[in-house]
Amino acid sequence: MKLDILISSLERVVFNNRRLFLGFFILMTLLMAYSVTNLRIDAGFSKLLPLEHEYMQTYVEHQKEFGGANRVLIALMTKQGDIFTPEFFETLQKATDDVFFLPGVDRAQVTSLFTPNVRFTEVVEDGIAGGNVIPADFEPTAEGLEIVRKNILKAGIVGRLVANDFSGAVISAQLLEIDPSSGEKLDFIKVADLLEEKIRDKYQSDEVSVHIIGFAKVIGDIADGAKRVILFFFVAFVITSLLVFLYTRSYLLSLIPLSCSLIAVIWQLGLLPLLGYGIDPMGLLVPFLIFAIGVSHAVQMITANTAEVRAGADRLSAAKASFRQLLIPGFIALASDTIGFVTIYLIDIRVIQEMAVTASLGVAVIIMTNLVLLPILLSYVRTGNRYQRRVDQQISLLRPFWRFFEQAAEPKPAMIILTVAVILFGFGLWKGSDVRIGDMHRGVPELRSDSRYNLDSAVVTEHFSIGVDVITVIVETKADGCVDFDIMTAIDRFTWHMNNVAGVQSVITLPGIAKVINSGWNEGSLKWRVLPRNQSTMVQAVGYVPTSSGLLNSDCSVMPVMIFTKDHKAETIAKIVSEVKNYRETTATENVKFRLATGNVGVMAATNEEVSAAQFPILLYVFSAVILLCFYEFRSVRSVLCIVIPLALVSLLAYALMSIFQIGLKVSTLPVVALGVGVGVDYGIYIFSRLRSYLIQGQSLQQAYLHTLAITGNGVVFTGVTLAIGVSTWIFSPLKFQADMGILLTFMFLVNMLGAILLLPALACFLLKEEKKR
Amino acid sequence: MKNYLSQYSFKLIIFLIFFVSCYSVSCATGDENSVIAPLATHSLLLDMKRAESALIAVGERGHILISEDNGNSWQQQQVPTRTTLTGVYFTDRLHGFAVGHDQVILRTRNGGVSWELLYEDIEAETPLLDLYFLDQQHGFAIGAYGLFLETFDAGNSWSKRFISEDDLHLNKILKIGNSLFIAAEAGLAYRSDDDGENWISLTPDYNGSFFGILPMTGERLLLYGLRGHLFRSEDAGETWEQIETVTEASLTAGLRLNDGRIVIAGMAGVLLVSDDDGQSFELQQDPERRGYSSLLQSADGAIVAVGDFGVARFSQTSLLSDK
Repeated sequence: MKLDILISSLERVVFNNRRLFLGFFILMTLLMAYSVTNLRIDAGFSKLLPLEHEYMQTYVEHQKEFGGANRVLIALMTKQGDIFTPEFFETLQKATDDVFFLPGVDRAQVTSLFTPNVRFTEVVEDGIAGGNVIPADFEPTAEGLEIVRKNILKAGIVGRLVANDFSGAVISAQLLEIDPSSGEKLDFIKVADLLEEKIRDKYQSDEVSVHIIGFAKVIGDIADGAKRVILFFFVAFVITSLLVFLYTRSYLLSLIPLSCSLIAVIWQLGLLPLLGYGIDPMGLLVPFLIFAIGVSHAVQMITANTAEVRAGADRLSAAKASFRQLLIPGFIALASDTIGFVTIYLIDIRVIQEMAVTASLGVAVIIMTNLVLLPILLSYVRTGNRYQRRVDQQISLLRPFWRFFEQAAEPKPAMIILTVAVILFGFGLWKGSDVRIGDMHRGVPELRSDSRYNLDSAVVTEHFSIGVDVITVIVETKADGCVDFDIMTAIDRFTWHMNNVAGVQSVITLPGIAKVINSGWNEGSLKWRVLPRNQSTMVQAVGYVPTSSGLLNSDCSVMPVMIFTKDHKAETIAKIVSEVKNYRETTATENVKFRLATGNVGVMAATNEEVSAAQFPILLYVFSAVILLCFYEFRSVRSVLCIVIPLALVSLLAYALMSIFQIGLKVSTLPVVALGVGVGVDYGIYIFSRLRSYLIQGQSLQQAYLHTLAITGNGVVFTGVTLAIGVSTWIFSPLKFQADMGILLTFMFLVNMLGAILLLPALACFLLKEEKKR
Repeated sequence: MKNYLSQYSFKLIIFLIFFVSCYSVSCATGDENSVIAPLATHSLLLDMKRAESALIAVGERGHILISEDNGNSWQQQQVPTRTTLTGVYFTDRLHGFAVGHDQVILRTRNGGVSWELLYEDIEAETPLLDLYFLDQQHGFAIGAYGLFLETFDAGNSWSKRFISEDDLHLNKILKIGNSLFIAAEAGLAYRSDDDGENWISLTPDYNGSFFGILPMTGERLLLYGLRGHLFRSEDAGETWEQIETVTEASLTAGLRLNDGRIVIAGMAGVLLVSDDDGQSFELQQDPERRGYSSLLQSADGAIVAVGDFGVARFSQTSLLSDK
């Protein structure tokens, strides 16, 4: 066969030039290690957006004018009583002053009771009168505080700057993209650190609690969490190393697979700066996956090698034999992994696409390190008699264990396994169809619902009328659209329509504000709370609304409609989005264009749609690739079925698991589902190819499977358990998406392993017997 | 997958029901009909009247709401306008009128179930603010800049005239005893003793707007308006006495309860209560700081209020706390 010729010539090339190859690997690893030093953390916001999506196009187009959504809110809450104490006002004033001097803060936009832009107006007989809420001659006395209390009420800032129950007050600041003092791009992580250091630590006391929310703070907290990802990596590495040692019972033989896998990680990380990528919190998980997959393949190689040595081969021919045996199945398995990673590229979000590229490169690297470098290294290893004895001991220890599992290939137990599989299949279909797209929990989805940020956010939403979940529909009109009665009326009607949609908490728009101002110009009478038909009256009504309100742009041709939602569950978002689409289809107004959507919920809407659109293609491509590659290798539909059916079952069960654990299908979890298929196929291919090699030798299925278990099964069970233990530590990560990935990957490693050693032989028992008879 | 399917088909059915009912009943007459909205009871409502057992409230977006159970539940009616309605008046349970911005005048002859648009003047850019009918035929609609419309044929035709040389906003009209009263802008009120033929100016000592008049017993009445100003007269407006209110919020609505107590409500959650026939008031602050536009006592004794919050109901005893 051609393939055999290719393999043996490859074998000759590799093993006749062992030194040359070793030198090449050492050189490359040094170069890549040097390249890793250039790696930087890169947590850009736009990378997380599906920029090609219709909604995000809207976002990008209007980002300049309405980009000022990067707000930080600092709430100071009294622990008892209300805010009208001299101490609280002193704290609030000092904190306000400190916020002014944070880097990147737009000083004109800082808003709190103590800033001059907070004014009250009141209707008086001859027009409107007003003043600063805290007057220039403010004294923190009982009388002074009483005046402020009255002014707060007149200013209508209760719920915005002052808690509804007067238990706290807010300082609001806008962050600029470019730090005006340095002229450089603002470092959000640094701002987040300073918020902790200069505000929270300084003003948190027995009387006052400090709560900080805003995008910069989210980024800061994610970055903090990401730092710990490295710790998790380390823990997983230590656990894996320990288990590898227990498995091989030899320092040298543990060192080889671990270093080969680490070399793969170094190459992968080194490739990042060369490709112009940084590493971001989500991408931090890739190196671990590479390491895990590397160990999995390395263990197979070690096991095969040991089996050869036990059979009496010398070290060089044992290494050659392992190389020969595993090159094709290993290559097929890794190619499947690579394709699994590549398909993630279908999700049109840059951070995911980078992950797809870097992870598939990483897996491709494993082909080099673990299928080529590892056997070369093994060919230098002399294993003594002591090692032989340890291995013999282990084998006799495990024999009853394998005898037990061997029964999976016997007709009766196989029948039971298949029945259970069918039941699980039904269960998976039933529960799996309940999987929701998007996020289902309160608060920022990247962080845990009990993280400090999300607790802070809960405090703010509880005491203030401030929504944190907003989807903004951008209304594009003509120049000076905001003084056109018909246009304003169209927006007003849309506002009311959206107000009435289930899941909408409140809607803020320019027409809504204009009506209140118009009423203000008419002695505050509710009967004048209308949009004036008269253009100069309309000018009067909108003229006082600054563009910094985010409700209009400079030529007032664009007016965002801010829809605050009760939560950001996928159903809520989908309902609101479809209402917007329905409305704009059925209600056409000249010069008025309703465009979806910005705001955090707008981003979620786009991401959800992106994930939901990519979901089936990804699985389709992954499975097609696996099926094709397996067919190429084994040339038999029945063989392919033996490998693919367990994979499909595990994928389905993963969906069921997600629905049970209330994990949504989102940017962080969809890749795991695809990867899970890749991991599972490794096990399946290794087991099946060895099983088949024994069957071809003429052994009975049961016999062949027992031998397979003792060698390949050993490695599969070991890697499944080891990787599951390592990755299960992620469940304790402060980052919600890492914890979610941890749950899913643990499940994938374990259940794929079970599928490969139980369901695969059971299927083989029925499918291959028939084939043989024929 | 099955769940998704059933969910979608369920939604589809709901949608079809809405769609079909919309097209068969409400949406048939064109774009400017009011839209039935779930949150109509939370929309801006500006006036409310009682017609026998029914309560009728009107407000923004052509909202007309009717309650048959003393304000506990409300049904929004189909109305041929989406203009903000500012006043409503029923001569009996079946016959009623509503006015609003763009000078719209609406009429019902079946207790509010259906409404016809009788009159409209969009170009004038002057709203109607209130209305009053002496009987089913003869009525008045008043509004901004001295706007005064009169009908003698149940609203089929309206004639426009001025009742004074000032073109002040005319805010409220009602009949007390045998006289008609109008609360107006710039510290003025008007009275007519001949069913609206001639009007004389009443001049309490104030230069701000008056938004409402409340009749008490006999010729006693209260006149109230901007910035907590409240005046009391014992002689049908000939002489006035200013009453201390300790609020600077505008007063917009008044109600005399069955037990003789008087409630004056206003903006920013101000509720003034008097148990001495309006000679002195005590301020009770509604913590939600709602803006009131009309108060009524329903048949079961509860107080029903409308305003910028929509509708609300208080029991008479707890008066100011929500039910």
